[in-house]
Amino acid sequence: MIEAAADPCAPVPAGGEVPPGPSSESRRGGVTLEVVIPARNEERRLPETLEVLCDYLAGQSYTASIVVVDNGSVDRTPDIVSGWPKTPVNVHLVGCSTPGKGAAVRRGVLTSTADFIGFMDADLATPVDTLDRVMPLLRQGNPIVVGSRRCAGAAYEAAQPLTRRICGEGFRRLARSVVDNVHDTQCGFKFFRGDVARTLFAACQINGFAFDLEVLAIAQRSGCPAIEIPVRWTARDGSTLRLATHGREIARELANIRHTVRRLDRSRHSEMVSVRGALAG
Amino acid sequence: MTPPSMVTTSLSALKGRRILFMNWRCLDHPRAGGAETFVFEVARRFVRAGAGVTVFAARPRSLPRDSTVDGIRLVRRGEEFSVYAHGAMYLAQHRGDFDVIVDCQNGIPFYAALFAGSRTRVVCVIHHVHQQQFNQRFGRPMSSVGRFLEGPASRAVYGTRPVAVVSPSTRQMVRRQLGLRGPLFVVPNGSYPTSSHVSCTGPRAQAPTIASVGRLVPHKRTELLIEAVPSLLAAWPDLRVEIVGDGPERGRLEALIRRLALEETVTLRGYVSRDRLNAVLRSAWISVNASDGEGWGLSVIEANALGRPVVARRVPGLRDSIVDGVTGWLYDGHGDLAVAIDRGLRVTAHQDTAAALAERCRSWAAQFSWDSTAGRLAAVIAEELLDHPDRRTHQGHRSDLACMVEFEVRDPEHFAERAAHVLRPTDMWVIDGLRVRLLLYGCDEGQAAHIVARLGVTDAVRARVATGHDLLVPFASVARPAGVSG
Repeated sequence: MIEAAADPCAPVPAGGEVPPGPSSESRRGGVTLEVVIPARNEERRLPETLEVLCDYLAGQSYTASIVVVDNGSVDRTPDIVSGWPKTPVNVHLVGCSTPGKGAAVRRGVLTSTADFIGFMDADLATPVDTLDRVMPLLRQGNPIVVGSRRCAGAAYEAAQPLTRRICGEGFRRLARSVVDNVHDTQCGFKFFRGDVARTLFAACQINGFAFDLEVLAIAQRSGCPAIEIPVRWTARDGSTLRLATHGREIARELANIRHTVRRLDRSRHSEMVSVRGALAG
Repeated sequence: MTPPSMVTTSLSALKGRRILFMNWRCLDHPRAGGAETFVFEVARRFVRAGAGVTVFAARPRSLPRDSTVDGIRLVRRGEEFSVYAHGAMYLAQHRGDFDVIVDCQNGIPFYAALFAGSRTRVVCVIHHVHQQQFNQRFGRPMSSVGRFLEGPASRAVYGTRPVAVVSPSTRQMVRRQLGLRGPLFVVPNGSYPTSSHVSCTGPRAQAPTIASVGRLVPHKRTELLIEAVPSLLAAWPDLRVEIVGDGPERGRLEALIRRLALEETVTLRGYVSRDRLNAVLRSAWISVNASDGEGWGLSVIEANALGRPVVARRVPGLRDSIVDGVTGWLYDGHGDLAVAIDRGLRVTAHQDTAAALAERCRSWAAQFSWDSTAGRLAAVIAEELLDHPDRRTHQGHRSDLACMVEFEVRDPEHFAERAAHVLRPTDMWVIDGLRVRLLLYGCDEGQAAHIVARLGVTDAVRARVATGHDLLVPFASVARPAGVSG
């Protein structure tokens, strides 16, 4: 488990638990769809993404809002979000001091009261109109819809660099041992029924890049099917994933996930029962 | 508007402490600038608070090796570059003589953390990140050396020691370009002409007048202002441009003025006295700063203090010191300078608008006092002087997030007592009646709620992520018009 040491000045359970108090859930009214965007130092890419997403969501028949989760930016990311002009689609800013994309997404999901919740990357690697296919599927009762670059109809707009492809292949092989019903676990575009998302993420612990895999692994073991839809994916500049710094961290996260999964497979762990119960109910 | 209680608390923690400032130059140095003003304004206030203050700086030929000014002990050794070797020697010889060393980094640091021994407490002060300027100033091998000394070498030497930065822009560059790992605290500059000893209201010139203040060095881009003048003359035939400051670019600028036949319009005033500078600023309608980037923009606040708005490019430093549309105007590309100046002149052409603008500029400038600077730096030092300073960084789990929290208390005095126990010296707060506003470094809304709960407050707490503006002036009341932050 990768958890921050408790701060003597702020004895807060780090990681996934969202402490009660003035988190912005009280300010965020219930909407049909809430889109979580984890962001760390995204001042360059965020304005365009917010503009495109706001435009798209404003044109939909359902109500929607956007939640940017600031994961410790030193740039103007919080200034951009909190100064975003008032539009029909509200743009909220939430902070997450635990580093890692997993922690940030979890904070966004667990503070949401929306009927449907999903997350996407700040760089808009997956086109927004993919939601045209996601929302009907969710409304038909599918609990999880994930974007996939590895199923029929998917495409890379531009070829990925070789090292990235090799690492990706290695990761997929390892991932297959914990999740076998999804071909592409790492596409940063996943949408959930609200109650499903809240239950799954509450059971998750991974803070880093491999958090998607943990969510899907727990979902699979809860009897919660995920539907893959093909996406046209564009590799963007400015990826923060670095093999040298993050490779070891990802390996450790993978080991943790396998540990969790073994535990779930072996025993009817109480937490698992509660996840299944919540999902059934 | 830093609350006096907070400032005095932090300053009083320095009583009896021995503090060494290491700075490139001293205030009497012929080329002293903003960084030197910062050190001496702060040092004077530390002395008044009862601290023993020594300043180490380079020694120009004309100045004595050792002297005392305003209770500050001055140690001058070495020249422009040898000062760093002398600094290392001085630190090694005086190990244990100081409780804390304030290492002011001006491109090249003193590496106090290396030479003073690993147990000495060190606080870095960074005005400006020079990674790009090394290329402009030095040739190929030297610029790489400079970049290495400022970046990777500093990162290794200073470790997780705290860094005081003068603006949100510098904060961003210190973390992202230099990669320093320590917690970052914004400690803004004060401003020179405080309204108490300079008459802030003065008539401006009849003719539309632009002032530009700054050293004439390449990155200030004064030539862009001169090049914009011909296109402005059509709409403003009696335009006057007053350029104050001196430097290596002067010859080139004079030639440019002759070539564009602007001798009647543009005047290079050179270096002038403080009174003359204030007179020039007062005569102007607006001030212009075409610089490619600053650490902060002291000259912006000086113009604001005299009620003059500033036109500048949206670049680091200036985008912090100017509130766009409130205390001046920011433009994006170089080509937009003339348009932005034209707009500034049109807005200020109306006496009423100009007066309202002047009032906003003055109230913005009043946010920046050297008392507040000294108090905020004292807080960083006080935190580092604790037995177990909380140095963990974003990698070691001290986040770069900060939170603004607002709530009401029933008993302000009881609250202040609790706050002194629960909060860290660098957390800032004000009480306005029963309403408390609090800036907490290194935490998100959830953690902020826990901290506030430990203060005995549980209900109606509002928390939000702090913006760069909040870090600069946490409790400022200058209204920011909606939609200008993009």
